[in-house]
Amino acid sequence: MLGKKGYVFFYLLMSNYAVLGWSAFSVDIVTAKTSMIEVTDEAIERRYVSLLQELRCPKCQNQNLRDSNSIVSLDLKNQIHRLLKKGKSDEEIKSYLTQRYTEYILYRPVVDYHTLLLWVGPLFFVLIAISVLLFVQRLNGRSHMSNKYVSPDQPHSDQVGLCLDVDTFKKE
Amino acid sequence: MPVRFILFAPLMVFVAITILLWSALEREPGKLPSALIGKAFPEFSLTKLSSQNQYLSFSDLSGAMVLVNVWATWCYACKLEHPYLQKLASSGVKIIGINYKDNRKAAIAWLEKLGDPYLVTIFDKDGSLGLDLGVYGAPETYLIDAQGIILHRRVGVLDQKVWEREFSQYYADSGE
Repeated sequence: MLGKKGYVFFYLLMSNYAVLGWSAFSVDIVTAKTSMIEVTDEAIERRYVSLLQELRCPKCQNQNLRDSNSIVSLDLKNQIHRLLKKGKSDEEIKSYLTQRYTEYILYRPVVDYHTLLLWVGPLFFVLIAISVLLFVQRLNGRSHMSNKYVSPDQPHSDQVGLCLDVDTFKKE
Repeated sequence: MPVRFILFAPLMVFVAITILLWSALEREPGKLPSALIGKAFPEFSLTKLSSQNQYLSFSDLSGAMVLVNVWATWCYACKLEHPYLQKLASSGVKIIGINYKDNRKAAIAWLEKLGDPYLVTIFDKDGSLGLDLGVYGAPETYLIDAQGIILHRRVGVLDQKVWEREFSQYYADSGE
């Protein structure tokens, strides 16, 4: 249980979060204002926004261009907008940027041999998870079986895993 | 009992993850590789810092091995690296400046006050050359050979240590 001190601490913690939350919110408003660029054509605007969302700010590794207000991001936003107005396709714009800023700038990396691990890696972990799951299930299955059919004086030779150990121990 | 080894699986996984994360600590994911290493310095046509009417282009750079240093008066780190650039210049290293997204008057005043290590400074007010170079912050320094090919890029302050580690070898190779 929380003592009185604990409550005070908890209260302070929560109020901190509130302040933090508020400041994050107000920063967001500022960002929204300054990153606004006059766009007339609706289709261009849509493409502009979606491009900014999947392009990474070169200066700030965990922000996309849309969220970033660093000098280089503002320049890139303007440039992307200019290129869109010139009628460049999304692919052309991306390759324009990767030629200058490398693939670092793409939040969605190209499928290539050096990004293979990135694309296949998660699948690998899913496979590990599935095999662990299957293995555990098999273990449990066996221990239930032995629960039902093994007599108390069964020799310990086929004990499998921890569950079985505990079960047989109980019976003894 | 081979199955017993399974009990150590979580430990193994823990060790594997620890090794992975530990090795990742050494990496600097925020540092961009340059897209332009081994490629030609981009074409440009911009004015000289000292004169609004005099245009400079790629051909003004090539001919010898040069350092191209991207700087601005608003950039604190540029001030830190300035004395070292002066030292390099006085020891005969050719340095060309790119005044990046800056105010012409302020930049000229800065060079008058702190000294001018640059053979010439390109005035890149809009950052268009910077964009073609893939500049994402100042200071940045590029090493270009006599043919105008970019050999190396340094993001951040250039000092004695960095010079010895990253740049001096090129000068030793070329005998300059």
